[in-house]
Amino acid sequence: MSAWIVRRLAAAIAIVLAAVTLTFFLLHLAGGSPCGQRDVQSVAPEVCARLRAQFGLDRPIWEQYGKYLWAVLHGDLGQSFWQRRPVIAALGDAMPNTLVLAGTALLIDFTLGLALGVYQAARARRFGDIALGNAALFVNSMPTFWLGLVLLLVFGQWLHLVPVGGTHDPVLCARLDSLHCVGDRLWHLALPALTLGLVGAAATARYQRAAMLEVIAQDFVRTARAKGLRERRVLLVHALRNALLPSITLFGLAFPFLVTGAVLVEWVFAWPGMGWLAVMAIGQRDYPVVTATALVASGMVTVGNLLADVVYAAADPRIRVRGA
Amino acid sequence: MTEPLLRVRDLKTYFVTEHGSGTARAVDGVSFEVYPGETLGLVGESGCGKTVTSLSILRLIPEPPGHIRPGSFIEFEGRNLLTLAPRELRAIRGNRIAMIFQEPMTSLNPVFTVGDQIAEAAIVHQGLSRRRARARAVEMLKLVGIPDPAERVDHYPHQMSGGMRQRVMIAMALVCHPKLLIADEPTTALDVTIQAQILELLDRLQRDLGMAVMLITHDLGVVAGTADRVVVMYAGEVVEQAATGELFARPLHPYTEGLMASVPRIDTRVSQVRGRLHSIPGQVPAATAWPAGCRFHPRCPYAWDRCRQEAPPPLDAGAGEPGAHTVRCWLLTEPQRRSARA
Ligand SMILES: Nc1ncnc2c1ncn2[C@@H]1O[C@H](COP(=O)(O)OP(=O)(O)OP(=O)(O)O)[C@@H](O)[C@H]1O
Ligand SMILES: [Mg+2]
Repeated sequence: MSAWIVRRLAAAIAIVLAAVTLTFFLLHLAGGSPCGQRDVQSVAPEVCARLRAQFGLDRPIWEQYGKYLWAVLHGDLGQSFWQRRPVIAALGDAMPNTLVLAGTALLIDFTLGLALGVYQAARARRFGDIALGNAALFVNSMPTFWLGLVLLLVFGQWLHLVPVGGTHDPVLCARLDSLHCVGDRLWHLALPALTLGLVGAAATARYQRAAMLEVIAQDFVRTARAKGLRERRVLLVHALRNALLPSITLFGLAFPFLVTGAVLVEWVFAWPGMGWLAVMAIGQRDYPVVTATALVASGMVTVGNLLADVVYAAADPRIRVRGA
Repeated sequence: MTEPLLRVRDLKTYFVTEHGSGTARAVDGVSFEVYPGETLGLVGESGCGKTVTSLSILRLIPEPPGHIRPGSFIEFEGRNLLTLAPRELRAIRGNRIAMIFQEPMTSLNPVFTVGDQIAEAAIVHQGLSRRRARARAVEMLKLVGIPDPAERVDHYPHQMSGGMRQRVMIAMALVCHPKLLIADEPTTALDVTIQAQILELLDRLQRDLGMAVMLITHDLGVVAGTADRVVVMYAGEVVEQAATGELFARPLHPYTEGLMASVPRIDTRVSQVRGRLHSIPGQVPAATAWPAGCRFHPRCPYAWDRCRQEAPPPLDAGAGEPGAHTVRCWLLTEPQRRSARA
């Protein structure tokens, strides 16, 4: 078991390294500098040359790459061209926002997705199942940002039920005690988290329904019924425990979805998280920040997958016992 | 004679097949009874409806595609199981009637320990505490001859062999001391030596616990050693039923004759033959298209015109009490045809 974890960890590190390398060189090809936005040269050439030297951009690319990796290994992600402060500081501001959004979305995704999937499987091919199946397909086939925009338009713009963007109301929060500010933050969180969570839940429900149906057809479910158990216990204990195992893998797969989804949703809802930061940085050709967001995103995805694998191994007695 | 424990009358269980190939009449008018404490053997080739019959008794038929036709009647301890409310039915399942299945490898839940799975029925039906139920599970494992029961109780099914799992299934079925045990080919999936052990175990437990057993098999050799009475099924119908001694002494249906010819030594407890019946030409037709007339006529060496046109009802063979030995065969009305062929 421990050898297996070591192997998986090595693979995870290799993946993160590959992602960083790819981002680094791709961005270099795209060009850009601390001298100004896009192709507009806003500073004098000699100032620009000094800035380039300051950021080490006058060195050969291999040297830059080596230095960058070395610095990253020591916890230094460099300086932001655009924000003129350490990248770490920019990430430090954005990260909690993303974690709150993605965490809430993940919660909605799995609670709603699992519940719907189990309900659908229990009523397979009847009205409730078909109606929910079509609704899930509809949500699933819409682009995330478009769903976000529609929700924003309906609930924010027309119905004025929720704020249209940001994480909180700074004016309001300045006057309120922290407890009330939490309420305001949740208020702001509702729509972006729901957008991301709903899209995830639609996929999770479809997957969970299929997993449940597969399990329900198995012999041991018939054994459970033959024992005289209630149908609820047959489904929620005997069948679900088995159908949850594949969903743990789904949990791992949800991370890449959340990372890419967060980029779109954060942009639509002006939610200053990692995705929003990445989009802003790309617009500003702020490579150190873009590379760092790629590093963190790939790190999150691989750690998520690793976690899912470990939990799976711990949850399935057939693997658990053999490995112990 | 005593009242039967279970009385099945005109049971019809049909399946509506998806790709429009019609309705599979898997069980089509089956009647028999099981008396308290006896062993009833239910015999027939693969696909003749044995499993569907036994699942119908506990209403475990997947619905859709299956359904039990109106007019069917299954009476257990004086109550019609087919009209019971779900609550009352649950009180019978696993408690008064228990079942063990054909497939020991897949009939246990892989994510629960065998102890938990055995204890579950005791908790649900007898209201035992978890601790008491666990102690009962250990007792049951010991009863079915599993070594180190106190340790095995915490094992998962995948840690056990097929024979062990079938013992666990038996322990699970018997934990509430049911009045009737339905054993659907409990040994088909097991090695021959293990088969004999499991059958002996069932035999011993039946005597100790005083329950009735409905033993389903495609092997007449198994039935000869264990059953008091035998019901022979073919193509969704009961074609012959009689006391075991009577049946082996005087098999009247040509299908029963064929089954017997395929068992090399019917006096052995466990036959060495598994599955295939070489002495009956052809195979069981599809349940969606039973032959007209007598369903066995395409494979019957004696068949004549009447057999092709008219389905025989169960006819009394006139041995002992009325209904003690019945046969669905026109040969009973014209016995000279049998000797003419022989
Ligand atoms: N779930 C189902 N859907 C459709 N048809 C079914 C289903 N279950 C059983 N049948 C039909 O019922 C017929 C009888 O099946 P059954 O399982 O009772 O046979 P059996 O006598 O138990 O055979 P075996 O010895 O192979 O277990 C099958 O041939 C099949 O056509
Ligand atoms: Mg069967």
